[in-house]
Amino acid sequence: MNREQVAEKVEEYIRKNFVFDDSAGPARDDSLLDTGVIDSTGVLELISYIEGTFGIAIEDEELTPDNLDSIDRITGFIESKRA
Amino acid sequence: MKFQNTLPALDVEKEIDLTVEFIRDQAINRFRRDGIVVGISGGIDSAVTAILSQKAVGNDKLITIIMPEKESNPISAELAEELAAKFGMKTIYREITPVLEAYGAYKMRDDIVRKYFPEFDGSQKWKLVQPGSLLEKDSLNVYSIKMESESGPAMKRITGRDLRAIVGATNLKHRTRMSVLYHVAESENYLVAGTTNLSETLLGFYVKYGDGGVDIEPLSHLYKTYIYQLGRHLGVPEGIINRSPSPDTFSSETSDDEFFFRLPYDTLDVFMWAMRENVPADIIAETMGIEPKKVNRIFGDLKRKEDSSYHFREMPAGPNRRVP
Repeated sequence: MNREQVAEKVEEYIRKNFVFDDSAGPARDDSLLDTGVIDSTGVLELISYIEGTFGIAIEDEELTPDNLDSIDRITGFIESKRA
Repeated sequence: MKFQNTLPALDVEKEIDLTVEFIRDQAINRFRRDGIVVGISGGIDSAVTAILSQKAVGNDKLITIIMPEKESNPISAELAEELAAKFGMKTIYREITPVLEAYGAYKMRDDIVRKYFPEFDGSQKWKLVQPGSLLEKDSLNVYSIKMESESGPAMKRITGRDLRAIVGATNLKHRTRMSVLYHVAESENYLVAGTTNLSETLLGFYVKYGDGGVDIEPLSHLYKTYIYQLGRHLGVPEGIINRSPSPDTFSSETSDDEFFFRLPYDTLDVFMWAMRENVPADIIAETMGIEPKKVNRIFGDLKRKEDSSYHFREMPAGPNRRVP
């Protein structure tokens, strides 16, 4: 799976599970927290999805906005973990 | 207004008089009730609410209710009893464990905890916690179960679904207490006074139709820091004043700080005040001696908590149209 495919999968998951209107969902560089797309429960669901889908284990110290607060950042984080 | 790293000084006596008058006016003129019911938990907010209510309507028109359950810290009821004894308050004692057992609340939670800690047999103490202080860590608000055991504490992160299930079962405690308060209040034609402070109100740190299910909220305009000042002036027992604020809903002692705010109240209140007064982040950073990015991190967290709990503060929506 290349970077774009990872980004598409993450984007699709977020749109299906956290966007409840007809909008296109967040842009890839939008903050998922500041735009209210995910809350503290949503973060936990997102973590479970990433770990289950991409076969990576996320350590507690990696649970930062730098790694997980936008589709772009999530994609980059997944890529770095799989490298 | 100048930012000074502390809240502006409060005229405590004036605030007491005004709040007492508010309670009296609500109870007598607006609600036309014969008295007031207050659930007392052994914490500062309920202590201050009860004393102010006593001043507002008189001791013979106040009923306090102590409602422990099997996971409550025993010190909670002891401190509540100490408060009632010191001020001569009429007190009803209602143990709510049987109600919660009938709901299956403990079993639902224990079954989830056992998924993460298979050795859990119900006797070990546990709680839900978030990562450490927002001043120290730029981490997401992710919940973990913290289990106490003979070999020391252990933490395991939980899923969103399990978090919701634990919170839903735990909130049965608050909603059961609400039912008890209203049972007594309706029997006596009394009003239920709530104990939620300003920071809790703004950030949604209460349970909708639980401790938020009341007739009036006499403290919802006051930061916790001010409530401590009122409490000292009113003579709240030292044990209550010195106790660390806690939701007291898990078998292991949890602070409000580690469960929800990720900041101690004195720091939280200053940030809440600064945010509402639009004090620039760089001025706060300079005055408090911390990095501006930490100020922005805290403001972001507070804003998100406020936004995500907006529905707590709304009346239930309905179609706004006349039919036919």
